[in-house]
Amino acid sequence: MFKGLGKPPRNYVVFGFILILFITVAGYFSLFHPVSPFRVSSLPFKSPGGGAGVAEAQADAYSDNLWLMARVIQGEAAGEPFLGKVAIGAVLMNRVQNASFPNTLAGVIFEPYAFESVSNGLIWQSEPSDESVQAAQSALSGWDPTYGSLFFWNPSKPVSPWMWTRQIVTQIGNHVFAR
Amino acid sequence: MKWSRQTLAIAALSVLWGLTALWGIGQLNARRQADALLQNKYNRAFYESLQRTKNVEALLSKGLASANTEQMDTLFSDLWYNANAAQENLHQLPLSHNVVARTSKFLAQVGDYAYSLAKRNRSQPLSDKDWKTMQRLYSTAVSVNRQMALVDREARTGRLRWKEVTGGLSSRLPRQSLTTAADQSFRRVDAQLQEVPVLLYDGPFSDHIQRRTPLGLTGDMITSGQAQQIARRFVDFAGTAPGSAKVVRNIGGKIPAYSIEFRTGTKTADVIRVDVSKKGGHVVYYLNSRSVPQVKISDDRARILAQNFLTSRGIKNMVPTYTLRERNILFVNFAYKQDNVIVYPDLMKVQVALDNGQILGYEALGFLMSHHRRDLPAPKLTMEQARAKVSPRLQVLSERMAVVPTTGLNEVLTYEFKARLGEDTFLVYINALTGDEERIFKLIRLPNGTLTL
Repeated sequence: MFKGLGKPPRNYVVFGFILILFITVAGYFSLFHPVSPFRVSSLPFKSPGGGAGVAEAQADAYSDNLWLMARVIQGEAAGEPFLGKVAIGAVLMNRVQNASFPNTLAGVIFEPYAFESVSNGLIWQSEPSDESVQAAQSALSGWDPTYGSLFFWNPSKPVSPWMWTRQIVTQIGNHVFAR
Repeated sequence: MKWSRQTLAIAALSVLWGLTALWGIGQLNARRQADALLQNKYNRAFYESLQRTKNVEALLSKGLASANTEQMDTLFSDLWYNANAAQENLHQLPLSHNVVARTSKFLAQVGDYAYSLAKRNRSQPLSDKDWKTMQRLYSTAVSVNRQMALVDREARTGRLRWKEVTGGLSSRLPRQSLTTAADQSFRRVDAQLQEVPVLLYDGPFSDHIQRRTPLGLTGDMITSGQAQQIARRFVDFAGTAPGSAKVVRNIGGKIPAYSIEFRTGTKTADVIRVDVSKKGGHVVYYLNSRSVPQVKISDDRARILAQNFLTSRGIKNMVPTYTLRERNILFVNFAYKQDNVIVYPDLMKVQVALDNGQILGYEALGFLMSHHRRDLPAPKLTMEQARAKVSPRLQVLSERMAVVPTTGLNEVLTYEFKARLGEDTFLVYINALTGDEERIFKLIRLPNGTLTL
């Protein structure tokens, strides 16, 4: 096997072993490291605040929805202006109220293929910012800067041609909103 | 025996290769298990949806045949439950939205319609009109089920598999590949519903709700120049120079509008965005997204400032109903008041900065959609008679008259009672004409929210 190259020096073998060992260990830990892009989250339903405090004792349907919505907003529009964040929440609300979509917020959020950040698990990888939570609050209380839109997408990224057949209502930040 | 370096190297590599193979086999098995788990989940949703849709058809036909009115009530609730379950499960399948949209709408409406009938009929026989509607729904359900049976056959012969699973768990949205086998099968089901009859009834999914046109848009069409002037006069700049206004885009949809931006700083986020409707030049909303670093004024003072803001902009007869404090901004909700009756559908929101009292935001989409001069009927019950209808277990704290929307966005004149039961506070609405208990709301207390009734 090594005839053409002559005998491999022992150093190569040892070095090879160490390298492979290092890659394995580093790869393994990267899966669990909190800021790793490959991180697997073993517990997707972490409590928002960490420990069980007074705030959590008051948990009710409203705050569950708030927390879920804030996560989707964070996943879909982390870099968008505040209004763009409210708009994502408003689209979720409009879908709940539309007969062609599931009737609950969780149903809308977890519909397969509905939101990229849900499909690829991004929504579980970072805690929502204060701004995302506030945007979710505004959307839940009925603020709709999208005038009843049901879809949104980033026009500079490829989307299904079917999307472009929808009636575009407005643009906020990098997203266009459509009915 | 003395092993040569070469043998050692080959042995080491063989061991490594063996370990890699083992790891690979382990991974393959784990993926197969994950695949099976997902396939089962999807199949469960599919067969559940299939069965529930069949039940809907059966229940509709029973409804047409039944003469027993008490039986009808049970039947309607069954219909509501089954149609909901069918729709819910349909949405758990990995299908593109456009191939299930109509089927989903059909199921949602059947359930919603049945629910509204159960609520309204109260053991009375079905009217002719409702019977005819049921008949139309039934024939639609039959053709949906015929197509669903075809999908079922494809699933049984293995022609239909949920693509996401067999194609690997891709994190990319398959927005481009809308031609999976599953999508194509379901597309035929949806095609059956090209011409679903329009359904009008008192429920949240009735067709009149999506088709609703704004009632509060009065006045003539304006130009973009006029829109800029209106925006400049309307926005609270808190003594600073407004800067230059720019019409950034036209807005389509329910309320066509001009979107205007005022620059307040150099960063991209430093803008005040204002939407002014093309018809009548009403401000639909505006938002100044500056942050508020500290609190200098009280919530009460801020609420008065919000009220003054509305008055100074010519918006009269608005009363605050609820406030919420969030990140040093007070969100004040207002409802319209007509002849001492609170009109809840006509809602507006104002945001007040708690540092200098500047109005940071204003939102009137709901108000513009529903506001009009109402011909309120004379109540047939007095306040005392209505109070007697409230459960005697409740302790009434305050009372007034209010117009509330029904689930189908119709409006009813009611007496509103704020009442307490133990630790919980409720809002109870008694119909001022019939004495029926229209709605009960339980107030959920948020740490930073205040009800201002």
